[in-house]
Amino acid sequence: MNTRFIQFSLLIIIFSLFYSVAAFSQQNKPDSLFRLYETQTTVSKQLDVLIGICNSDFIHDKSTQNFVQHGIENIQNNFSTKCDTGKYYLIEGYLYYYSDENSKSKNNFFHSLNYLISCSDLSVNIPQAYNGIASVYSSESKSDSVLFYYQKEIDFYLKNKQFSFLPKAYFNLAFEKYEFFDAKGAITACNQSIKFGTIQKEYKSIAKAYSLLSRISYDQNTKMNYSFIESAIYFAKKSNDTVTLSDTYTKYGYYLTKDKKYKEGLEIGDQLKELFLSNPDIYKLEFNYYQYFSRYYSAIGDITNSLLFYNKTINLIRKNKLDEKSFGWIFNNMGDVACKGGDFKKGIIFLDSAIYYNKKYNDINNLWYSYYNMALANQALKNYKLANDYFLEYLNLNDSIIKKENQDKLAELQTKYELDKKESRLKLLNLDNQLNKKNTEKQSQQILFLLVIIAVTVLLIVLASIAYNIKRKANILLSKQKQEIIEKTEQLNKQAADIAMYKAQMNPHFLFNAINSVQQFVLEKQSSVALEYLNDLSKLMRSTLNFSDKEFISIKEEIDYLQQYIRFEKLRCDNKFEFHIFVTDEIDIENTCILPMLIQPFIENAVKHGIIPKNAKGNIYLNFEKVKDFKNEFLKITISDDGVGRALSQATKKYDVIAHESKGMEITENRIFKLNQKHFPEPIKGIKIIDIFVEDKSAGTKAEILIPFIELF
Amino acid sequence: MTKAILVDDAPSNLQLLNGLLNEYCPTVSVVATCTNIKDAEKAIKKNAPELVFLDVELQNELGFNLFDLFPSPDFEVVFTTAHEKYALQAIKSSCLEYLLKPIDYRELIKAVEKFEKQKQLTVNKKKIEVLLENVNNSKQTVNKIAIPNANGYVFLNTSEILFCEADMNYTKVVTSNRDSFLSTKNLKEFEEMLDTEVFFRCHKSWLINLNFIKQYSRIDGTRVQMTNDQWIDISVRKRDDFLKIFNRK
Repeated sequence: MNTRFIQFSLLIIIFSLFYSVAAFSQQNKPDSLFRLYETQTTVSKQLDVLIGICNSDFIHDKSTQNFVQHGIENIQNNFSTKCDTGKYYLIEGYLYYYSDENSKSKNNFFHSLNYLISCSDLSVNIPQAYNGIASVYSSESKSDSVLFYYQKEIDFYLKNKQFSFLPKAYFNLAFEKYEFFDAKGAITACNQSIKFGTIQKEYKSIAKAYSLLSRISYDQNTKMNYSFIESAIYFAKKSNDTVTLSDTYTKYGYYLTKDKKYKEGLEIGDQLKELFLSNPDIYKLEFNYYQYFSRYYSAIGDITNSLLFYNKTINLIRKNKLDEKSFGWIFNNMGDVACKGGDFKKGIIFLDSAIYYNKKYNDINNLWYSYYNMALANQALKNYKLANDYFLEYLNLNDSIIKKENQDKLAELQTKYELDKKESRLKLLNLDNQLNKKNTEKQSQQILFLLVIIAVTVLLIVLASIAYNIKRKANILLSKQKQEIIEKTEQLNKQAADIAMYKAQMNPHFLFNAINSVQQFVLEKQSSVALEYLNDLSKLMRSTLNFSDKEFISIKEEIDYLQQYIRFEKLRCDNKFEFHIFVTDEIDIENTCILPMLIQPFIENAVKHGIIPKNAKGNIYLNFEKVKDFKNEFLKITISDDGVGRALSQATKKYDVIAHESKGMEITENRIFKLNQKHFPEPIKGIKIIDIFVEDKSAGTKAEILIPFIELF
Repeated sequence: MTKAILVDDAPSNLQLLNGLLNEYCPTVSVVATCTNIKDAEKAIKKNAPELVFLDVELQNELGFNLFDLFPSPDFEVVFTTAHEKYALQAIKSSCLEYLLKPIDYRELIKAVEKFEKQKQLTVNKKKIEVLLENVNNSKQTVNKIAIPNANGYVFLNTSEILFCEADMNYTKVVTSNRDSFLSTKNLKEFEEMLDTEVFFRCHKSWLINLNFIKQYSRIDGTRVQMTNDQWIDISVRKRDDFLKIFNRK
């Protein structure tokens, strides 16, 4: 964004400089251009002004070239950017071009391109460099390269939408195509130039394009040349560019002369003269004026005047210290004119000069003509040997021209190859730059990516920990609920066990037997005894209810309960037994815990299976003692009787009685097992039933219960 | 002769109690039997009995409602009840007489003997106040108790009790204003009467009011300091229960 903006503003500055240069050049005052150069504050702007000067018409002036040369030497060591260096080489390229050092010029232009491309894609100097290269090739007559670089220049403008330069560029292309005999391509390029020129109001280029079109149509005898050249004159006038107008008039006059319309031709010559007279400082106007008349007089056969104007041309060139390259063809023409006028001696002198300059500037084509003319002139003077020699030279040159054309072609191909190499290197460099840029972008992207990954990772960790926490909480909740459920289940199980226990306690046989006994007392009218038993029974039931929601009761409570119970058992079996309770001193019966109604089933069993079958009176003993093993304290409860013993008792039992008893015992065993499981890590055998034998005879049953010794406080 | 009125919604119960009194308590003369409070009111007004045997669970009403009609009765009351835990707790805390159904004639004789021995009508009104307050309060908790001592009764708000301390079969009750009373009831009976949400049996010999704990210490065993600065032990087996209650509060 930023670089774009800078480029854009740079472009604006450059354009404005160009326009100011153009404006100054319009005023025909190179001095003001030099001043413009001196007022620039930065090296870059100074270079821009110099480039502007190089692109103006003044550059043909040796003094202007010197000025540019000095200007560039002044700032040569102050280049800070690649752009500046590129501009420097561009200017050097121009300077070498105008001093006819083509290879140096080319090299500089290529150098320039090298720097400019790596400095900015948008620099207007890049197409200028292309243009310069094309110009150099043009002067070397290397058609393919010329067209290639002009095309590149155009492509650049099109790509970067710099349309204002297109009319001129298309004209240059058109001109070169014409020069290299591609009339069709030239017409297309001219049309493009006119098209873009109309849009950009670049009348100068339009005029030149029309002028070129007229030339083409003249060459092809389409008779369109006059209408084209009139359009050219119209636009040249509109452009206010006197040089272009002059060039156009020259061409117009040339057609007229060729068509032998000498009268109109002279009028055009007058126009040229007037143009020159109103702008006597402009070299090109003067040159056109002299040249036109030299040809005009030659055409009408006025050899003296023709030669006079040729001389004026030569003097003009010498006066302006311009290169003497054109002397070759000028002397050649002079020689031709002189020979036509019959003055072969004079002609030979001119042609001699022509050969000299053509050789000097290596202008093979003109040299060829010079030799040919020389041979004819010497033939006319009957200097056959010389004529023969020149003719041979002419033929040799012809060969060498063909040869040279081939060599040139070869050389061109070679340079083109090298050029391609350079181009591809440039492209590579560019790609490298882009790659570097991309790499930096990529790096920053990678860093960003890394940061994103880190952020995401952190986020994930946070989320995971949150999720974990939630899960953990859920787990805790779940385990809590599970625990609750387990507790609830245990409670329910306990309740179920309790219900089973009470059911077992509320043994229907016991109840019915108890009530049966009371009935007996009522019948015998022992009402007090009956009431006592009924009240005891209700107390027993009340105790059962009171114990139902208790985990533990004290031994005292259990003993109280058992004594009420024993009353009924005694009543049932006619006081057939005595009940004895022993508690060791270390036990505080009020403070020591026992499962409620734990002992009653054992008493019930002792009565049923020990005492009742016994023929004599028996005893039931209940002992409480505290016992210890190496790590645990137990409450040991022993219920023993001196009854008949289990073996005998089993035989006399009825089935349903066994069922109830086993169920009652099963519940009791289960309660003891659970209590011990809760208190002791290792399994404890909670109930032991021991058959008592005295002298090998069954002497009763003993039940030992081991439960943890628990105190309330 | 002691004039008595029997109140019970079941006629068979009335007949049984009447029979038992005739058989075992010849000094008691039953002047009327009633099946509801309205009849009882009429009978009391008509006969001015010294003793009323009052069933707690009547048809659609409670025996306690009789005291709405006689706020300061000039008769003694013996409640008869089957197994109604809450009503029994209220009766016990007010130190009124009661008999559990089915009525044991031996206990009936004891109750009548006790009445004839004491005939203390002066404190009756106070006891009934305690009863009614405990019965009628919305939380159904014991707010007041009557403490029997050697001289008669002390009536206390339970919220005033700091702690109860066992002293053999007696109980010493200490209040927040540093009074102390010796009760003939044992600590277990107090434990049964008082609200377990407020009173905690922290030790074989101690029942403390949790609202008066000043601090808790684990130096020299687990102990609490009450607001009167007295330190009370917490038995090892009750420590976990105590901490559970304390954390809950």
